Amino acid sequence: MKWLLSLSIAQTALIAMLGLRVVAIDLETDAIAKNVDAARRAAEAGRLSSQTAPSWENASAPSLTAEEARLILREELAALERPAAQAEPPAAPSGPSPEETRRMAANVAGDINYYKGAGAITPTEMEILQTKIAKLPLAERRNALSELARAMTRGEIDGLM
Amino acid sequence: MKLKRKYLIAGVAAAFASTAAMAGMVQPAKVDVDLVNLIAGGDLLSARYAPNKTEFIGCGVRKFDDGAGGATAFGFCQAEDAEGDRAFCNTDNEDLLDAIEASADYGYVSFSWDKKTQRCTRIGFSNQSFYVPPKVGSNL
Repeated sequence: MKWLLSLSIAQTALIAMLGLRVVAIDLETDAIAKNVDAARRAAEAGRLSSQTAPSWENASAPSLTAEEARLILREELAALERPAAQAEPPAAPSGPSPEETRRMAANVAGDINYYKGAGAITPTEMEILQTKIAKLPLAERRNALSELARAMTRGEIDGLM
Repeated sequence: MKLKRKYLIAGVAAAFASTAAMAGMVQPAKVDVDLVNLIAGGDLLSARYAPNKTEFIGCGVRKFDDGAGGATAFGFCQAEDAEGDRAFCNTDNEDLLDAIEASADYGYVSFSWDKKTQRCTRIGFSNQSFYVPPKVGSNL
């Protein structure tokens, strides 16, 4: 009978110990779960902040040599200058200045007067004269051709165009 | 024998005469420069084979590189008739330049000009069979 009583007490004590152990394990599990949850929230917050921040804030700065830095600056400056150059209209062929035009026209008029005095013009001389006349601006060119044709029609210059 | 030769010569002469008679219409136009009405005209063939050393007529174009990718162009017409009357005119009118460049080897040329400026006011070309020489490119 005593043996049965002591066995019953031992069994009850063992059950009590097991119950305490289960409670302890339960408490540990809760604590671990809380830690895991906190860690997950922290990781999520970090991911969101990295998505919204400019890339250069997270990029690690490369280490550049002075030559590489100069090369980058040159490329950037060239890129800045390029659109300005492209925007400029192509330079129009500049004609002779008014002073140059007057000089050329006077030169041609002098030639025509010379051939009037000579009374004739050879085919080669005519080609040279026409080449000079062609370099004149339109108004002066017309004047010179008119003067030449008038002199030839009048017979002041014998020759052919 | 002599009679046969006469017939032969007569036959050959007749053959040539008939060929000449069937050469088509010809209408030579000698060069005329009218300094009153400011008109000059004539066909190239008649001028070239005129029985004198003065007659001529024609038009031409001169083009010069303007150094800017284009060309400076002007044209001219000129003529002198048997009497020694002569005319010269020039133009930079693109349509008149086109007319000059469209001219043919044989043809009638006519032009007018402004007396004050000596600029051509009219340039005409007429390509007609009756201006073509009888022996050139004959297919008869």
